[in-house]
Amino acid sequence: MDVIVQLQAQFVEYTTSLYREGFLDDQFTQLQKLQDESNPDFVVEVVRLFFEDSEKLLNNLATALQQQCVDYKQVDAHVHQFKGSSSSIGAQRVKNVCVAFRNYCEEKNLEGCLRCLQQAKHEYYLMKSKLETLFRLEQEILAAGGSVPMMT
Amino acid sequence: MPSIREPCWSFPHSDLTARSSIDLRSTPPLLDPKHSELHLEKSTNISPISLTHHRDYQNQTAQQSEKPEVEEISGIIGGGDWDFLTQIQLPAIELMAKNGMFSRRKRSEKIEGFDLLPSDSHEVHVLAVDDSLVDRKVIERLLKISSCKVTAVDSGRRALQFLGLDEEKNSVDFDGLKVDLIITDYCMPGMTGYELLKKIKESSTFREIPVVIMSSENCFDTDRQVFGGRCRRFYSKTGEIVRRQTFERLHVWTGSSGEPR
Repeated sequence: MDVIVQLQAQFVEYTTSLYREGFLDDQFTQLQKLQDESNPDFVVEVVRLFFEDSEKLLNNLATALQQQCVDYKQVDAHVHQFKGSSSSIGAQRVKNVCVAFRNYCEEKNLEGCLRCLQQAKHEYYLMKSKLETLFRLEQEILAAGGSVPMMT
Repeated sequence: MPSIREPCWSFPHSDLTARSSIDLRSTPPLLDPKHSELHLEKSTNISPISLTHHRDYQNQTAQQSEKPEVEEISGIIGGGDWDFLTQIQLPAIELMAKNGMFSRRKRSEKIEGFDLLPSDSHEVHVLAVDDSLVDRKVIERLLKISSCKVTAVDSGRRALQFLGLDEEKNSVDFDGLKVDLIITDYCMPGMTGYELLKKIKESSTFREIPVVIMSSENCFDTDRQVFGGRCRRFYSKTGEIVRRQTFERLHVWTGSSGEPR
């Protein structure tokens, strides 16, 4: 029993820190509310889709910014998509980078764009590893026979 | 930081009658008093334009005397599980529907909630259109929770194909699946949500289907004037709405009053 309590406490602390540090916002909470016994993997599935989507977008962005003649409209379209999907899952820090990124696109500022791309990558991979840790903690709780605390 | 959640919405037992074109007081209540009408709390900077449109709409429907009276129905799309929907705070969507397209429950049944069920009692079938895979998954889940049948497609073009409206391809599935509602993202590559809307409204078969357009602030503002007087606009309570990036504004294009521009 102690193990479960400990794991649960760890989970709560970790989750709280993610919100506190701005990695996650309320959107993520809302996603969790869509999950229930009939759909216990909903959040994991959505997040997985986000990962796949994001990695494609980051590649597309890198390619687009490497062109001789950069098509800023295209770059902006990719960033817009990235902003959208990161918003949808509550990946706040990623979303914020996208906002800045779009401004540089509008200004056709290549250096700014490249910097933002780096930042976006950084934030994305950081977010990814945090979420993977979170999911792992969930699995550990479940494996020990406990239930995952619900953040409200 | 998440906090103890109090419902963000107020649920006044209010104003349905004031906003309706029919006096609902004379009919059995459509809503279980326990689950009163879900309002979308309008933000303080609501544009007066949306209220005007409401009045315009009512005037228009009054003039169309040869057409059946339009019922103004407020509520959530889909089935009766209001509690869950209030918890997830899905913004209220006002759907305009012609008589016969949506029907009330039989009076003899206990009214537990308001169901937007076509008269042959099948589930509400929603066609969801969004180019984002992530958003499609979320919308799909939301709608399924609301007991809707969902078909999710990734573009306006696919949506038209599904409906059998695409000139080049015809959907083989069309005959079996009547669509009761279309929810579309606004900002999509290829065909925007608005362009899709226009195509749908040009079709005599489908023009009556209510279309809900979702937009994020970003994209929509630039084309704001495009919508003009043709749809009901709801603004989210900023900062408190649930999927604010996905459902930031829901614009309901009314089936009977709208004419594509």
